[in-house]
Amino acid sequence: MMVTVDKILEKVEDLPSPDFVVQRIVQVASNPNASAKEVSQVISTDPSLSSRILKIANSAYYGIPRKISILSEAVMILGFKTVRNLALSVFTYDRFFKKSDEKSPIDRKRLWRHFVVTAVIAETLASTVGYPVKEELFITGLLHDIGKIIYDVITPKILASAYEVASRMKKTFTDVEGDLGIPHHGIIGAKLLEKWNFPDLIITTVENHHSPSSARESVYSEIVSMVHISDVLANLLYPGDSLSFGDPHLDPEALNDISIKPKGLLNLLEKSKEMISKAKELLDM
Amino acid sequence: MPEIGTSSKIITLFSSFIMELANVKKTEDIGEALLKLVKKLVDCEWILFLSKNKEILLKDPKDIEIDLKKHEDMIDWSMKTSNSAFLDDSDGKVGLIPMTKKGEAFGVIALLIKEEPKLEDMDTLRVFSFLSSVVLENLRLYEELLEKNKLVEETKEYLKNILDTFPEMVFVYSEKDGMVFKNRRFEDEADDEDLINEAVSISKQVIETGMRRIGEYEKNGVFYSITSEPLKHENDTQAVTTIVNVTSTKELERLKELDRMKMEFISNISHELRTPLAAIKAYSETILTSLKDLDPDTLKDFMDTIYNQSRHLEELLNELLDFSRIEQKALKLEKIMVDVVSLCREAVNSMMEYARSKGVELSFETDLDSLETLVDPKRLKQVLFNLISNGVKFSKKDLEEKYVKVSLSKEDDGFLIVVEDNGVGIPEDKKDRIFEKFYRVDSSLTYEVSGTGLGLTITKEIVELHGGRIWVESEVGKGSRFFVWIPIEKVQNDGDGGQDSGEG
Repeated sequence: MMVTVDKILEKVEDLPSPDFVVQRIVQVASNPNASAKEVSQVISTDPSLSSRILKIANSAYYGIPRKISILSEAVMILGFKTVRNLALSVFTYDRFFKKSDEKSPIDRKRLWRHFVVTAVIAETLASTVGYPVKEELFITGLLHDIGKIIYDVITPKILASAYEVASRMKKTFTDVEGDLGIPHHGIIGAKLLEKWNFPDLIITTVENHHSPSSARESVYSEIVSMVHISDVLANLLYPGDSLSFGDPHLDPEALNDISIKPKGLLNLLEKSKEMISKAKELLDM
Repeated sequence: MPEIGTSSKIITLFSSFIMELANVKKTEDIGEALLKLVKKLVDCEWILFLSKNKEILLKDPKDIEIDLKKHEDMIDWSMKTSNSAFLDDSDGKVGLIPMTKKGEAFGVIALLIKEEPKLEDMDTLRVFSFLSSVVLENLRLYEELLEKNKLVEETKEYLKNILDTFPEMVFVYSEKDGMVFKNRRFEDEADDEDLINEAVSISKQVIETGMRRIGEYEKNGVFYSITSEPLKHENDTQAVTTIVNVTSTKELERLKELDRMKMEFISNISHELRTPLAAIKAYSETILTSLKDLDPDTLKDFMDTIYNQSRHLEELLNELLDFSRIEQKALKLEKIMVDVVSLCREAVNSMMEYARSKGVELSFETDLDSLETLVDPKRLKQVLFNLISNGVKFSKKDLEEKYVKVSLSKEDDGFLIVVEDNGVGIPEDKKDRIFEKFYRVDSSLTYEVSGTGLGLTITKEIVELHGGRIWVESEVGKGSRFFVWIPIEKVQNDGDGGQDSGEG
């Protein structure tokens, strides 16, 4: 059953690239000179994607007091990056979570909930601590555990045994990875996103979300710390969703990094719960 | 792909914004700075700075009329969610950039642009608005702090005003910083360097020991009491030191003591006067009622007693008279050229009988044959009588060989009379006080040893009127030596020789 690290990474390489529209969206949203028109034009090429994005944009999660009926309006009100995030959410859901795989022992619906809940907490955390570009927190929160679903796609057996051990022994998924000698899901996720030409910010955060101290020197260290904290809180809110059991490890340095106190964490948890309750459209794609 | 906008445009904007912020003193200035920056970044038709309550605080151009009623819902949403948004409007796009810090909104920047903004500009605008919000909030906190400081200052002033009304001089001393507080009384009245030094030295001891200390200071008859208490302030130990002028308190004590002595004197003198009077009365009564039965010898004895007691009474009254003259500064000398040697001898001789009657051997010695000087002979004799009778009076009852030795010698430009006895002596701490009026060393002696308690006061006054000095050396149980030094005078000075009808 043992599979070498290289073999797993090789298999990641073999995964197909995301479709053209998604690639274009990522590209355009990262271009400083892009305009709202360009972004909406790219998305409009996929009518289904457009309508699903508009549905989420009009949801209680964003609470816009007006009805948004065209994509360019959504871009102008919610911003390029939020629209990009929604497109990537739809894509990720469709690509990995839509069809339940009989071979897989895991509950993909719950894993998706972990993705969305972490994204919502991360974005809420950014608002709470006053970090301006909160959209980046949403997308990194959403994609931080993408490595886990990759495992499920490329080596379902390994994931099955890791899940088995974690749930029986009440261990965290990361600890089990260490025990089994398989690559950390952060590394797997980062590898995939790199292959997909995602921005550095997302790749670095996904890679280090379990060990923010290793990204201390990075310009993204605060984002890594925030996603780390959000992941821990998401695991506390919905234990087992992320295939991780036992008490999640919170790196105290991460709290220092963004100057949040334990009391602040409790407030954040309350606010996050409220936001999660409004994120029905994201949870049930 | 470029992740962080490092384009020179943004750096330039940042630079000018930081410069603007560095000069900001009021919260409104931040709005101005931000509006200026936004105008540089995007080409806008108009721009507004709205308060949390959607009131227009700033606008550019200044004379423009803008109605944002139809966008109010989105303005609220923008502030609530910290999202910036661009909305379709008849003339272009209305941009809303919230000013928030940690989710709390301070206001919104609203602007009208013709063209759709670029992605990077939108992000840049938002980052700048966040930055402004942080500066704004800090400035607000700073203003609050200033306000609080003002309150602290006022409280401090109030407490200082209270301390200033204290009649005491108060200061606070810190080992590190020296005098950290002085009340007004201290500033106004502490002009004596030595007093301040003494108070500071006491304060230092207090800081060192952490214990309260009390000290005293006296200069030119002005008395100060210094009290210092330790005070913990932050990590420093300080001393709160109070200086009080207690001269009036001391003066009051002295007057009270004088009053007490006066009362004692009155009861004493009454007793002194009554004793001879009672004797005179008793003997004369006896003579009157039993004249026939008395033989001449007994009669003479009685008459002698009456005579002696009258003399004694006269002496007492003279002393009182002299004293009242001293009190009224009316005692005058009548100086003539006199041979002091024979004057002393006469005085001693006339006391010889009295001394012998008390079992005291009285003697006189001198190396001088004669010494001519201007003195008041009656008064000088009075001095000698007083000192000799004191020596006799205060002899030790059980001693076998009691003596009083009088000696006369030339000393410097004057003559020195020493009256030495081997009597009871005077305690060290009372030596200075025996010359005070009414003072008696031990009031328990009052009834053992007769006297008014005025003798030495009068003696001292006479010696000093002669320009001389009187002092005493004594040891309790061994005896006393009184010294009288008077300058030799050959020429009659003006102002001397006033008529003196008193008797010595």
